[in-house]
Amino acid sequence: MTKIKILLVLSLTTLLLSGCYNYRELSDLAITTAISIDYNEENKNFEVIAQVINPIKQQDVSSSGEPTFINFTSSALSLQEAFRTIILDSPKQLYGSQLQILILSKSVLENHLADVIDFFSRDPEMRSEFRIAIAKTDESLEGISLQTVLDNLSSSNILDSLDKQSEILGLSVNLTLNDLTNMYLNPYLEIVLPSVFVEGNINEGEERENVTNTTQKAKIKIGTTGIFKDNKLLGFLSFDESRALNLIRGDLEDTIVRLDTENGYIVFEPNRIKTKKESDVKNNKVKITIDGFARIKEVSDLTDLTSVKEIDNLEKKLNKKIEEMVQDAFINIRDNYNTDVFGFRDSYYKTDYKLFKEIDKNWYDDIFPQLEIEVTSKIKLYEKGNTLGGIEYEREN
Amino acid sequence: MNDKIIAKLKKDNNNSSYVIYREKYIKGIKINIIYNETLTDSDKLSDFIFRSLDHIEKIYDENEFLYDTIKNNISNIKIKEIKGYDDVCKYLNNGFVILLIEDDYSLALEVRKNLSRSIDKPMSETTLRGPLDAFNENIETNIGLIKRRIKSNKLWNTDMEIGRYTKTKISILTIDGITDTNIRDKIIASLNKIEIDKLTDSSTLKYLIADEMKTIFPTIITTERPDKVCDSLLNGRTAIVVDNCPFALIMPVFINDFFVSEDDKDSRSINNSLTRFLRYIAFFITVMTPGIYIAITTFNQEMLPLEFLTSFASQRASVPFPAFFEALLMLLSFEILRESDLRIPNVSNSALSIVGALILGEAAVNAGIVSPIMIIVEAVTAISALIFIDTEFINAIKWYRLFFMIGATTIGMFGIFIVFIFFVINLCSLNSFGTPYMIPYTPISLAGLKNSVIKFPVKKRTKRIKYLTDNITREVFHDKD
Repeated sequence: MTKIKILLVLSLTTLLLSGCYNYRELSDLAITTAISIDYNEENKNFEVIAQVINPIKQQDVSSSGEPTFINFTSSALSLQEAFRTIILDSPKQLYGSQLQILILSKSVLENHLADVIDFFSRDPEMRSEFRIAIAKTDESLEGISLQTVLDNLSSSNILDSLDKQSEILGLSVNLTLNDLTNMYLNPYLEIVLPSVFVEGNINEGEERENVTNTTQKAKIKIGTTGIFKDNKLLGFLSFDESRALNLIRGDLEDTIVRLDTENGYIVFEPNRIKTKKESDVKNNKVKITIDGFARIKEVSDLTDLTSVKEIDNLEKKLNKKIEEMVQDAFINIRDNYNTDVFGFRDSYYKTDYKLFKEIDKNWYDDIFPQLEIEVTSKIKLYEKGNTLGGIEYEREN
Repeated sequence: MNDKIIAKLKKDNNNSSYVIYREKYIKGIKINIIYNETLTDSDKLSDFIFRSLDHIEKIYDENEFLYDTIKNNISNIKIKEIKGYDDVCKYLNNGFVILLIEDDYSLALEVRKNLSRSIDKPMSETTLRGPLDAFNENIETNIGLIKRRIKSNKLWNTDMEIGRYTKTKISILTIDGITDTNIRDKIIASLNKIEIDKLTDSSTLKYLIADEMKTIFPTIITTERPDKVCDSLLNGRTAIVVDNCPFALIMPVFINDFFVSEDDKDSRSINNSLTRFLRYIAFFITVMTPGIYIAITTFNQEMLPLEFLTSFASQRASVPFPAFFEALLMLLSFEILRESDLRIPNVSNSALSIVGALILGEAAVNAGIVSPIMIIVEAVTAISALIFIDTEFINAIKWYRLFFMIGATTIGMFGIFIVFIFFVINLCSLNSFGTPYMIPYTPISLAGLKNSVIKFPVKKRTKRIKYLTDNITREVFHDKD
């Protein structure tokens, strides 16, 4: 009896404690889904834009004419001050757990990356699962304020696009805060980040008309990978280089490859790609083996796809094409940028620690420029779509 | 002597007009006939007693003892010899007719009126298939219904009388060779210690033999189905049938028993396993959903996908109450509705459900008192609770639902975990008449597990639970090929 009394009293008193710990009603939150940060060198100010969801019913969006999200801008000497002072014009406090995308300007990346990483990883409320991207131009920082159609939130738009492209195209790397922190802290890794840019007139894109037209006046697009050396942005890769970089890093799973033939082209879709790296520190060489499967997606050629011999031939050509693509991209990056974004330095360190210590002192002077890779592609062609050869081939015969 | 008894009786029952005193002379010998007309059947009385006495008068040989002649010739099966005043009272109040023949020689003859209803369908434990008879208020009928199913001498009964005024008969049923008699002895011992005025139903008895304050979970099952009693008996449990109450008691009880329905026997084991799984899911839903909803929306918003969060936030935007209060409000109104639905006569049921649906649904949302999502949460919680037929079990769940809500509104998800740990500890520390409540899960009983979340085919369930009985072999026998 006394036990039950004590239990009752305890549970009733706990009711009074609600709100002491971390109690927040949903209606008190300004759910922030996207943040972009710029640094103004003249005023020494961080300039931030935070995208906050407007919690109105999704079915009411079109009728009420209210926007689905609101942007708050603020600037201050520190990031914390900048974000905290947003409360001056927003009735609710920013809530960062649901952050989806963080866009950083070039000036932030060059001089204040450490501040940004510190701010976001210090706050326990923040999840580290959000994606980080470079704004290719200063204008692209405002890209998060564009009105979008397929997804009401422009942040979800960017996030989904970024995720999906890394699954089916492999144009750009796809990184979270943890990856960035790791790359920043590890002395043997260089930073790579995806980029975004705005296509069209940004001022028109912020208008409501942007979503009522079938062709959007302005949209935010995913760009190619930006590469760094010593935490300084060097430039952006081309489409093929970007893909090859992903392939070497082992992040590429599925993409499309066009093989030019005498009369036209054939497009393959390599999928289930797995990349293995073997470092040979002594000979300064890295062996890369690419395994996977491919299917034919498009044929504009007279090739007879019904013959097994031809298929074998195509498979060889495809593998050769991939090997060349990777080799070329590597040599380009090595010679033009001289930055080890592939993580070879780290894998050398992990393979042969002692030897690596000796050669590491002049890594970028002697070792990396001499580094060579040997690419072996073992992709198997297993599906060609239908039983026919190419349409043109069938017509000829 | 007989006059003395009659005078005392008259004094004792305050000259009750229902007690009839008649006199009859057989060849000059006076016989006093006493009966209570509310309990006796007048047809039987005239057919078997008075007519017999007339017949006896004809054949009576004066050399013989009248008492013996009556005893041997009266056409009534149930004859009791009685000695003294106390016996007279006892049998009179049980619907017997008392014949006071000569000094100290008296007989009681049963002419009881059938005061109970006929065997009816079960009201609270309906099934789609299976037997459709239920206990009624007559203990003999009830035991008869059980005996009809267990045609064996091994069905043993121990009878007791409880209640200073009611003198209610109870029968403790066991199966010799299967049942652990400790439980029976314990029950008898605890009942012997108790002096109580009345026992009108089995529910009171339930709390006389089990500690009411020890736990909020039911440790005894109340059932009105004879087939369920038989099943339990043959699995090594003890049953108690109480006179004047159509509900029998079964003990000991495990938590799994509340998830098993008599309907399950009709279902194939594979299909039934899915149903059982659903019941367990429903149990957790009904206990934890409001708590988890509160925890997620007021503390751990990061746990929700963004789409859900936006949707929830938009629904919550117009609600003025904190989430806990909102949930409590809905729970309260639902429980009030349920309670009133049980109490009111059937005629006004539909009117009530219309009003209830309006209050709990559309109007409350439109008025901005509760959010639609809360209605969904409460509806799921309430519907899931209706899976269980045992009202005591549902009431116990209600407490834990509240505890989970309080834990959630205090420290969010941590609170849910803490209450959950307490919940599990509480369940594991319980016992029902000395057997752990969480059998077959802890301690593990393979035989019990075969009829828990997953139900094995009947031919595979060959053993009884070893914590119930020492005789565990062969619940089902079949030839192995």
